Amino acid sequence: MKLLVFVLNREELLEEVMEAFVEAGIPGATILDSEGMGRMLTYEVPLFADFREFMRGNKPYNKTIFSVIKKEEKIKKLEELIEKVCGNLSEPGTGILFTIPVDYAKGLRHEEE
Amino acid sequence: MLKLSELLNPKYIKLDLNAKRKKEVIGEMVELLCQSGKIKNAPKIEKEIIQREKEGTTGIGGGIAIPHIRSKEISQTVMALGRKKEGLEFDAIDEKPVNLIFLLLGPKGEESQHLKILCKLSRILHNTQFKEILMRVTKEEEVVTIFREQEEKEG
Repeated sequence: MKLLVFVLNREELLEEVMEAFVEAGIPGATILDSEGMGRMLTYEVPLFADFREFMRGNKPYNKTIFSVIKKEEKIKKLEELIEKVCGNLSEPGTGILFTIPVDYAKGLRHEEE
Repeated sequence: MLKLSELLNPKYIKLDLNAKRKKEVIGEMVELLCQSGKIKNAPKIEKEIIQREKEGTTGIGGGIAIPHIRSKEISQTVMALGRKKEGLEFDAIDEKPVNLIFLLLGPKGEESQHLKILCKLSRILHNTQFKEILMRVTKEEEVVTIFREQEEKEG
């Protein structure tokens, strides 16, 4: 069982990414509004205001999606589908996908085969 | 990463600034750094610093200001420290007078290094005890020593 976290930089792709989750057989996920560190530092801390130009190109806001996945084989499938939507995740500014082991969970929705 | 204790030089530290206002203090500290030979056009640098301050104050509160720019007029990163025991007006975010001013000047294109130095300096200066020591020192050389000791302690 894994906790999958995906930081989606291009928020406009959220709907398609959610469809990818469903297609991969992942029945539920939680979506958080999130903010990049560069945006926070350069717009909220006056000391770093002059770095706005340097940070340009980085998406200021993003979505963080997380889901506990029982059947780990679904993760590979999801990665493929996400990359079809967002492009190669190795490209900077696309998104970040990672998983961490989960040793206990309760309240999860039933996953289809 | 460049060490703050290596960046600081007693020649560019003034423990008793003459200036009473923000603009004057910038001028006084740029003049201090002119000795380094790494600044090409001091009046232009002063203007760029003042322009930068208009984007957002570098008076971070707690009596500290870290004015800084990256400019084509600077060949290598340099830093000066000025102290005004009675404090001076610097439009700080906490609206309180500023006592310690660190002027950091770096060349264009070295944004990452500049950012790292700023973050490290800001973090160390949030330490009240450290600031108190800086307010007490009587010799410029001591400033370099206490920064070196702090960096050694942090590893």
